[in-house]
Amino acid sequence: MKNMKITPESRVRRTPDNFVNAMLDDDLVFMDVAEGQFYGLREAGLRVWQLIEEDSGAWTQVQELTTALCAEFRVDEEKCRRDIAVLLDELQAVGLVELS
Amino acid sequence: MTRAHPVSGQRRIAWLASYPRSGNTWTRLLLANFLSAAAEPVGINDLGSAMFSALYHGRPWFDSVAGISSSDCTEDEAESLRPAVVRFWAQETQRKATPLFCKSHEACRATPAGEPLFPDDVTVGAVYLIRNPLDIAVSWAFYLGDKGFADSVAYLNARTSGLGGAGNHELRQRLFDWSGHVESWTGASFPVLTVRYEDLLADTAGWLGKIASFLRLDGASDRRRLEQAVAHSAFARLQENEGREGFHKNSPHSRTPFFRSGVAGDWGRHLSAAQVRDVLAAHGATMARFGYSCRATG
Amino acid sequence: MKVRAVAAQQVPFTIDADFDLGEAAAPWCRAHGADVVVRRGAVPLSLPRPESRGVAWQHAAGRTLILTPCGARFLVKGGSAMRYALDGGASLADLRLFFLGTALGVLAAQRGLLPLKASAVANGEDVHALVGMPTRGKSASAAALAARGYPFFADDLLILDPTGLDTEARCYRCDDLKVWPKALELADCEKVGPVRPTSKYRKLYAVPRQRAARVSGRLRTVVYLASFKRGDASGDRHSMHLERLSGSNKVETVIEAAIHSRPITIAVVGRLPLFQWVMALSRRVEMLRLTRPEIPAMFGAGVNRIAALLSAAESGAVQTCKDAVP
Repeated sequence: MKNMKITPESRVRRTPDNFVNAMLDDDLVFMDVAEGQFYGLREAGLRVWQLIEEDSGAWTQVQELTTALCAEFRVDEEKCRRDIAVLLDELQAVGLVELS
Repeated sequence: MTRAHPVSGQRRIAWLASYPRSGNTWTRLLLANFLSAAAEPVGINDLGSAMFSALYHGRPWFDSVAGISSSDCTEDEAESLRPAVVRFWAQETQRKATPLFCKSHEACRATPAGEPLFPDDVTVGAVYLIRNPLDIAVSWAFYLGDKGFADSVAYLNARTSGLGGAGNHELRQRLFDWSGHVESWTGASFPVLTVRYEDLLADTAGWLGKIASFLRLDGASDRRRLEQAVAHSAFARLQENEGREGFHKNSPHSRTPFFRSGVAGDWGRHLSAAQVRDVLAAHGATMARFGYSCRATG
Repeated sequence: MKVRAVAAQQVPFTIDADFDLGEAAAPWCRAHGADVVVRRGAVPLSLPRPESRGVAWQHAAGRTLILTPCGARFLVKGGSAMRYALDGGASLADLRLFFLGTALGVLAAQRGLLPLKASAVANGEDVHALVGMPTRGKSASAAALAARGYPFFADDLLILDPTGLDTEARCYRCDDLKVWPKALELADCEKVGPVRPTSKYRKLYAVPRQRAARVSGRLRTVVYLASFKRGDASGDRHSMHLERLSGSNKVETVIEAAIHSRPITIAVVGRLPLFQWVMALSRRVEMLRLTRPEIPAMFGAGVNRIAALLSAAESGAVQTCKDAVP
């Protein structure tokens, strides 16, 4: 479910405190330590995570993510924007990121 | 109109119950699309998501909640644990405002020890789907593949009919005969909304709205939202979806798509006069109660 | 067939039990000086202050209580002792069944080992595990593979040592083959007798064509057996689909299908260590998913496919494709 509309001016930061993670093959695998749920990020999704500032105090603007991803992957900017919004919404729903 | 209890404390399960081949999967699809209200339709194979994931008769779910293997137990032993399993699950599942939806084809019954398998204290209510048993007989025969209508009529009429059991990937489920099944749910102690499949077919958005209202879901009177859910779940889309994704619910013996035809009143083209008479003899009273014609011709 | 030369085949711990554990568990047994003592005795119906609990179990301060619906109860203490009680007509056969599954798995977990829910076959030192949802044919497939040159290794419980996962996935066997009567012929094995004395439980102990001589081996492959996902109406009832798993799919497979008595194991081991073990195991072994039709007519073809891919995996060349079997 969508909590807030994600725009290019929205900002995102990592909130990985409740998770452990490790790389496995080409995936970054997360586990929610309290709930035990597993999640995996790969390819473009993994790249988005990597592009979000590692320092969890720092905010990254969504537009920066879109620009970087469009440069690295051959993808239409509008579709890229939409896909990033869907991904960030899911990451927020499970508690991996915070949006503002 | 009757309404389900509000979700509170341990009372959080909404049963989506029906005799097999009575529109259960379609109704779950309608609800899933209504609740998601997203631009993309919810596909058939998405019904395994967290919202609808509780398969009360499934061994994996039982094993993961109970901690022991149902396959090491007799069916009676596993059944004796099911009320505790469902209570534990209702208690432990993450807090949500909407009910936990749980599909069942079983009769609303008790264990041999007398404990209800569908405990009142964890239930907000049930949506019970009912369909003309003559059409069920036809649909059941197609689903099972090569069995023929005589077998499906016998199944409908037998008190001891069931699904799953030892060696099967589902736990034992007792159905009773069709009338017994109907009586068990429509006479349950918790709130039940009985929905005729034929009515749902004729006015899907309207009845989806009644279901949503019964379940106290947000947006129950939002016509646009209801119509979008209907469109997303439309039969044509179901069959297209099924062909593309491969619907895993279909029986391995079946040669026909899961959603063969949405049409009601199909039975006249398939059942013999004797088969029709058998069904009417066994279930005429219940059929009349729910507005199904007891005439021997279609 | 008795297992010989136990000294040369070390088990991770030894057991002194006051009842017969069965042939497969014989290498674990010691009359004196064993690491774990198992005795009949008083077992409570609940623990005073459980830290975690489920419907059939409770766990607190290194002690795990298991309550089976047949009347057998186990109290597993600190990985070194176990008491059991038999109520409500539970028999020694019932005891053995639940001991060699749930209770022994919990004991292993208390001792820092990982109990896997898997059937398995061997080829020399190599072990190949079959995992999947209940009743998907793991045991029957293992028995059938035993008739195709892959000696039977395990039926339901495979104990993994997670400490050496950087170099190898050492695993141990302890249980005997159990199959449904209808699988005897398909799986080419010989009936021994009922697993439980009640007619309401029909699984049988059976002897496969070949059994592994060793009690331990190196886990190389995990094959997830799935049932048929129907495609179009024409030919797909005869086709199978093979997929090589990687990344988070491997983790999901292990967590969903391969952890024995999963909620109890999580309570005993802890989520964080379990995560690390599952990740390390996923790096160490090859994992494949084979989807095939559930119908008896396709069982043999499915087993042949598994045998072919085990052989390919051993030589390092696994082909994955959707193939139609004539």
